[in-house]
Amino acid sequence: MEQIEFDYPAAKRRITKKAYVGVVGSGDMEVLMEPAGGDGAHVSITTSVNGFQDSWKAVFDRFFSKFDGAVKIQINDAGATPGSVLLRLEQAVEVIEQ
Amino acid sequence: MAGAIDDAPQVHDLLLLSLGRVHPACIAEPAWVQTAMKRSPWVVVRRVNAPVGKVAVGVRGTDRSQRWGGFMDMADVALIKRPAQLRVSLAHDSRKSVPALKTLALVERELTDLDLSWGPVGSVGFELATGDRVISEASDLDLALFAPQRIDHAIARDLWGTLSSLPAKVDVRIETPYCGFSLEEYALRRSAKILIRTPDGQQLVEDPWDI
Repeated sequence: MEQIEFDYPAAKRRITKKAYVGVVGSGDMEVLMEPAGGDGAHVSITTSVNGFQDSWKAVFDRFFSKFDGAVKIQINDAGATPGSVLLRLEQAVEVIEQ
Repeated sequence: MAGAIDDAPQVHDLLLLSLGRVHPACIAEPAWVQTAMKRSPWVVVRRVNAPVGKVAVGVRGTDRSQRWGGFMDMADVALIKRPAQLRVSLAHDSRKSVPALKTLALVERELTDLDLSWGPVGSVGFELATGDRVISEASDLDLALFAPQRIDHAIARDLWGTLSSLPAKVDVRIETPYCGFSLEEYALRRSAKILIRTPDGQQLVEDPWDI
């Protein structure tokens, strides 16, 4: 079990909706995306697979290079593949931008 | 092997290799694969398209991070065990108190009247098929539920309500003829779309029976 945190202070666009997608099942993950309290975005990951901090950072650096919402993201990961990580984030964004 | 379509290996099936030989797919074979195959020449069918005459399979090592995918010749399949053939009665008596197996016994009782084919996959399926002690005290119970026709949302919700309140965590993959997805996600319907896994990769769809 590992806990990973990232901050993206430049993501300042106000968000009003909340998304809860995915499941904590083999090779998948759960994403809770909600408006952040203040300016900037915060990501908090709890994962069952240790040692992938750099991969997670690469995913979110890329994600926040396109997405500018001030969100708080909580991820519960059960070994999601890179493909499911991107789909789950895309799904959460679709819900909050509806 | 007979040539009927039903005999073709399907995702989650466990195969016993007659020659104990798996060809690398694209990633070079790690050193532990040979050791694992010598110890137990069983592999699991993966959801990946394979060249004609071959089947995509995964090899399970002793460590959780040791999973490796390759292809094997259909002609090398000596025996197929399907999830629906695997029940807790196949477990060694000394293993029946392990939480995942205790939970399987409860699931068998709960699903007696279910009109669908289902069975354990993951570590529980592997141990019941091969006799190798791979289930740990912390293992989840992974199940595959075969649904060629649409399962009604209300039925899925009831089913998930039953299966999510057992001693070990139960992770159910619904299998249609085209894709696999999570019963929990389908039952809880938190968003309009659902993540499906197909031999060509994963995608988000609205209706997993109509893709």
